[in-house]
Amino acid sequence: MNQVFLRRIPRFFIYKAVFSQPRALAILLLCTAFSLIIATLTAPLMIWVLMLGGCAVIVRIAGLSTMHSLPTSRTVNLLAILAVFALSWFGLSAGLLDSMINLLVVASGLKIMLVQKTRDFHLLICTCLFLIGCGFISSLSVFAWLGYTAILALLLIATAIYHGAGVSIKKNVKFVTVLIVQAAPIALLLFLLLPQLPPLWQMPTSKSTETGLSDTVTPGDIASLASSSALAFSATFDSPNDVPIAESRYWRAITLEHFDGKTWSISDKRKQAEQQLALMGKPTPLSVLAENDLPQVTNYELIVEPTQQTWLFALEPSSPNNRENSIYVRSLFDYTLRANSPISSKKAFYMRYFPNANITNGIGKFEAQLNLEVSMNGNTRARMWGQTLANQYSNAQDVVEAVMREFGNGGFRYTLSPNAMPTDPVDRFLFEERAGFCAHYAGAMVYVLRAAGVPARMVTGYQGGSALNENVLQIRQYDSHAWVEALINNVWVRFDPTSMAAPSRLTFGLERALEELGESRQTTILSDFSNSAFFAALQSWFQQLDYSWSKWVLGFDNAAQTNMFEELLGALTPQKMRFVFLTALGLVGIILALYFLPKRQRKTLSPSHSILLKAIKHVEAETGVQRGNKTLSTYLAEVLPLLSADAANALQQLSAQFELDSYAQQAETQQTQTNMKHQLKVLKQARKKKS
Amino acid sequence: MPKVPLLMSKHVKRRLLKWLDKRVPASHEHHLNLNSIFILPSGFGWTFIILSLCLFLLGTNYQNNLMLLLSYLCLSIMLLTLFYTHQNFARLAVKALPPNPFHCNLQGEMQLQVIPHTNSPTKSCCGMLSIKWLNAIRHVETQERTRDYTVEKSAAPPSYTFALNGNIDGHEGQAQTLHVPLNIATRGKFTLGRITIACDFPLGLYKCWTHLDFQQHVTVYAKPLEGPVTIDKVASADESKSVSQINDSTNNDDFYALKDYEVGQPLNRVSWKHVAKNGNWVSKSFTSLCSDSFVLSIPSNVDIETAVSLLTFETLSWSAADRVFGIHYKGLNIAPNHGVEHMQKCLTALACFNRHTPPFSPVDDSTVSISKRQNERASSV
Repeated sequence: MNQVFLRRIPRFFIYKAVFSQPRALAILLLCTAFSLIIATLTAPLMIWVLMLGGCAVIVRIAGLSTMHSLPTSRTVNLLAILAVFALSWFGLSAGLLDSMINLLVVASGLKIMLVQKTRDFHLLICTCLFLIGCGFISSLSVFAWLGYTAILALLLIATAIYHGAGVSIKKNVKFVTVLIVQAAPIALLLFLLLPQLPPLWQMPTSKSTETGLSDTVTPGDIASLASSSALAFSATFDSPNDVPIAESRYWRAITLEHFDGKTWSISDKRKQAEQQLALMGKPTPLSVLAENDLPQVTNYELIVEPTQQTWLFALEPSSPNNRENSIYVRSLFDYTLRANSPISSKKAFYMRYFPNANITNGIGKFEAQLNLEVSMNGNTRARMWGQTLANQYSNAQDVVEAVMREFGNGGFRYTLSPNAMPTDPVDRFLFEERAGFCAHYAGAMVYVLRAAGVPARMVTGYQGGSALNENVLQIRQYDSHAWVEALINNVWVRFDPTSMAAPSRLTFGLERALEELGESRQTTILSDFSNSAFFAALQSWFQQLDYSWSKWVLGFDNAAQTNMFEELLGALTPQKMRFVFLTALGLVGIILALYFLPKRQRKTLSPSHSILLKAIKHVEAETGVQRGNKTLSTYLAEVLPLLSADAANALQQLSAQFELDSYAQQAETQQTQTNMKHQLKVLKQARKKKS
Repeated sequence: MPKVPLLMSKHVKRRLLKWLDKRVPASHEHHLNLNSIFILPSGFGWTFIILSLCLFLLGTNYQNNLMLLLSYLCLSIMLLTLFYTHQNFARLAVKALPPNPFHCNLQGEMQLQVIPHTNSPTKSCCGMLSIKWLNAIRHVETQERTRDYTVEKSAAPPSYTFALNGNIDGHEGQAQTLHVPLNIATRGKFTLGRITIACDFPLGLYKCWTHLDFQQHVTVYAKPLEGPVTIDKVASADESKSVSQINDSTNNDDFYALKDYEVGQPLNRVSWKHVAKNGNWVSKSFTSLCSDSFVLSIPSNVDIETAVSLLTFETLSWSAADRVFGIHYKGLNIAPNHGVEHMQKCLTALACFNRHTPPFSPVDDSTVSISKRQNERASSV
């Protein structure tokens, strides 16, 4: 026991020695920052890369003491070759962006084991900074920003310790803190005033961070989304009156018109048709709608979380307000919207909602034909039912209503965890299980309607949204939904079969509906916590913070910038823009001058002197005799007879103590100061008594 | 072919030095200011700027405002560090101590004392100073171009780093002295050239530097070489002369002889007893204990450098034994004597022997007042 303890002592001293060596300490901090960064990048990083990075850090930290030797450069080179092979093997599946991030992490992990020269250290600092930038691709919250700023500070402290030989750690930390605090206003100024450029070229997107709806639906997919309470987007309306009622909050995203018996997907024919029509230059129905100045138009703003995909969701029907959008949004003939580049960060989109407009048949007969195609792959009973419905009713409207009635009265149950239906999914859902969620209902209904000769298609998107405040709706991933559009009298009419089985899904949202049905979305222990009032308040506060952050920081784009300038300066002219840039430069200059121009040094009086001066002021006020440039003793002789006994005594003691303090070089200055303060009090009291 | 760029760079350097003479005049003491400080981003600084621009591009292409903010933050840090680096370096004030002479085969040193700056008496410069010689020896315009005494090799001069401890509280009273090694491979008397002092203190993003001329002169003794030297005992005729030169009347000297008094001889040598007895003015002569005095010489057919080296060695060894000796070689004649001063005189004479350089190259008259005052004081002492 004792021996073990004794053996540990030298090791302790070695680690203590590390802290006294500035360079070793700097490398230790760098390692810490690096491991923090890779811990936040778990999504794009492959597991073996994470492990390699972690091991490299451990090897390096162990190598800081002299007890362990670092790997030789030959070992590291061999490792590098191995890593390059592994990267090129796995990189094919990971996508360009992710493999670049992996490569960077591998390279800096290997380099971290071999930091010797100053250049290596600098290179690593720069790589870590770049990795922080990569971290912002996927994490955009306030806390991510704060955390990464802290890591940036850590990196700067490491650099400062590396370069400031002999300067204490405390001073370095203070310097870096001051530096970042001073840099923040300049950065903010640049952010507000430098022009926000459009993307210069198309960047690869990260596959690992694709979120939201997918463009195919095999019943089951949307259920996986329902378990996520991540924000999908928030919609901001101009006034509380503009916010649509809960039943009409259908955010339309994708129309799925092709069914192969199991999976719904976007029809290839539709894609070809869209391309041809775009080439012909035919205006889309939405653009026509936008040009006809309809009386009822609601403007709103969407702040969309990054999906890495191009489709957008909007209240049906809405047209994009491309004059303000920083990413151009196209409208298609099926009234869906597509952004020109994948949405890779939180973005604001401006939309115009036409509550009274219909979704018309965009491409004539083509759409009707496309949506009558019935997959002959299984599901015979459903087809049979469709045919009987067609024989029973001559009117399309009646057919649809019959199907809806069946969903309402046929004992259908809404659940997020239905049994698997691998073969003949429509038949098994309609005639055996009678339990499922929106995708099952919508899929079955479209299939039956098509069999009955009514053109119908599946639409996916989001339904509902909770109010953050009276102007803002927040839509989360569990609000994702699927419904049906049927073509009746050349107009696509929306039907929601799910509402027949679970009416509260529409009006109160998924959570309430599940509660009524005795299910819960979350199956964690935390769900109990979320019910407490404190937690709810905290959550709503965070949501509010996140919304403001998204709107004012992340959503700050060219449009917002132009708005800001216009509010400040009126209509923008090139002259005014020049003025803006000159002001920006001037402001930066003023900030720098504030920081660095030598300040006029205040004369520092010794505390005893200042107390004496205060006392003399009191005396001057009371006696009316000015001191001027009289010496202390002559002034005292002049004044003392005029004062009361108490005050005179106090003043005499004060002056005596002042002389002691300033000329006798006494050690107990603290003592004399407290004494003098006391005398000053006595003097004041004496004056008060008199008055 | 490769001579052309060499000539070019020499020309450029010459121009640079001329320009520097105007901008940063020579002085014993330098308080750095706006005129004397140069600042540029270091390699790390450029990498940092490029990184910030990359982040800007990435942020623009991903339309990611946080990346843009990060890049602006990096740029602002870069901008602020410019001022911090300059501010720190502008607190440096350095005074040169007169350099000690050294042998050309050995390393000499220049001593620089870090003193409080006049503009910021409370705060001092921090960080690592890296010091190197821009040109160890000052070129004199009159000098022939072909004749190059300089030691500067084609390789870059080594730089020496010193950690400043100015801000450690315990040491505030003491001035830190930096010993900068100095290599001059030829003997002679030299005016030292410009020294480059650089610092990258807070973050290493910028390199702040200055070229300072401390107006110092140094004597470089020849390399000592052991070898045959002719040793002549001083002839008796010369002896009286040599003896009379030793005018020490201290006790360790022995009485030697009485001679007739000649006008001009010191009165304390007069033997007053004889004057009182018979009126004859007689003066006393003394001689030291190591009375044997020698003259070291080398035949004039030996080439100058070897001869100087041999004589240097002998000077050192004879002085170590504290013996009386003189030196004679070609035009160089030094009368026999002993002591440290004598040794220095001999070594200096040997170092300067047959050199075309004037012992002190003319120094620019554009010196700072501080240095002038010091010069006067030095001459009056």
